[in-house]
Amino acid sequence: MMNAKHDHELEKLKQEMRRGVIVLAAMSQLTQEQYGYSLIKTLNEKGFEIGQDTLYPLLRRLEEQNLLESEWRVEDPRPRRYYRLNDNGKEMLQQLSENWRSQVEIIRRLLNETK
Amino acid sequence: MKLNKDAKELLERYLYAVKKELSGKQRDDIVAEIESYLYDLLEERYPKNADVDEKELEAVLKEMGSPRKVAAQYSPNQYLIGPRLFPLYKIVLKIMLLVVLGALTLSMIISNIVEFSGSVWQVMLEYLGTLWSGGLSVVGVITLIFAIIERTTEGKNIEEIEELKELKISELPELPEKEKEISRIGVSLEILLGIIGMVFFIYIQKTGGLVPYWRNDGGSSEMVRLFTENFIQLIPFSLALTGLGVTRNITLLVQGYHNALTNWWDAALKIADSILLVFLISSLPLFTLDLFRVLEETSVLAQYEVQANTGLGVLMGLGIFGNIVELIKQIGREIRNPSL
Repeated sequence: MMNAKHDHELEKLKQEMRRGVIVLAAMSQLTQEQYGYSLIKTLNEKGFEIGQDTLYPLLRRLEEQNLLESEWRVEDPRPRRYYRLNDNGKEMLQQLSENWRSQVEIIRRLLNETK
Repeated sequence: MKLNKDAKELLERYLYAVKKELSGKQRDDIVAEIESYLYDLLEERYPKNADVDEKELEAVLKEMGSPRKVAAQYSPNQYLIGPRLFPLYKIVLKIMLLVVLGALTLSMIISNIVEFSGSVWQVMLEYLGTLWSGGLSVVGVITLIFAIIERTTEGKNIEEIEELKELKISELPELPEKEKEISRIGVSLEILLGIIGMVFFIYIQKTGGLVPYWRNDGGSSEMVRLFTENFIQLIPFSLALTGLGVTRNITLLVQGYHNALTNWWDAALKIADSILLVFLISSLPLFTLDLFRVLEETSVLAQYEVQANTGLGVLMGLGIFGNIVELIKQIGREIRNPSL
């Protein structure tokens, strides 16, 4: 019983930590054009698990925030929607990456203290 | 990979259901993208020339989840009133409930002064019914208004909310220990007022509601009626309650702080006061303006006797309402943080 509760809390905290990083992960793979399914596959292959239920709404949000551009293109055999970062998005990715690296460094130092 | 006829129909039904759950301009676009994703997924799972039947498609759709779940991911507002507006909503709701319930109480009192139906139970039941439906309407209307504000001001700063975030020292509540302290000057004043009140009640009782006045001509005094018989009948109760209030204040002054005894004593007095006020209201008129008639036969002021009595009734009604509000707060405080 105690273990089940612990696992549940762990899962919740892990999800909370991941939530902020998903944007960075998705943007990092969009410097080159990709369609939704290929982006999910790329991310999963590189170890970042993500489903369509999270990714597609996120892509729409990023486009609304003017970080992405997208277009439907009919290629064999069916139409697909392709996404890529625009200039604004590229600059944002650059800034977010810098911020991420400094956060990682700070957390690394904090965690070393607890060893 | 090719969908057979049944599978194709199932897919169309699924996408149609997702579309129905979505709103806004982008719904067709969202559905097209989900369709594209499903084909990509199926293509990867089944060889190029395979026929996909209903069962196989069903397994894939099960992984996606219900149309409602899929559509929900695209809807930003899955709440009526969000955390941004909620504190303001709570404050407005509290104030409006107090105002409306107060107004309903007042109108109940006034309409019973004007025309009392004769059955206290009927009046009370009707009153409770009005409170319930009035309260529900307030909650409904305020919630509706805030739900609209939530959707029309998304992402904008609302001044009232920014103000709520600012620290105002004067609005911080006193610590519970501090609440127990008494103001000696305040309590002494209350005792003094109580004693003056008691002397006044005893005097009026003795004179039978008459007060003296002095004629302009030579200083000879005569008595004139100010209070009605109705009022005099209730004087013993008024006297008793004022006496109990004074005793409580003296107890406070002696022990120097509020405790459970003085707090519950106060609560009991508030209930008793409210009951006395109800009796006073139902005994209107309580005073006459004969005094003015004696001074000047055609006095204008004396004509307003009925209005003046009704005004007093309204004030007493407000008193009852104030008592009830205070009582609820006090009991709530006592339950959360019992005094010793």
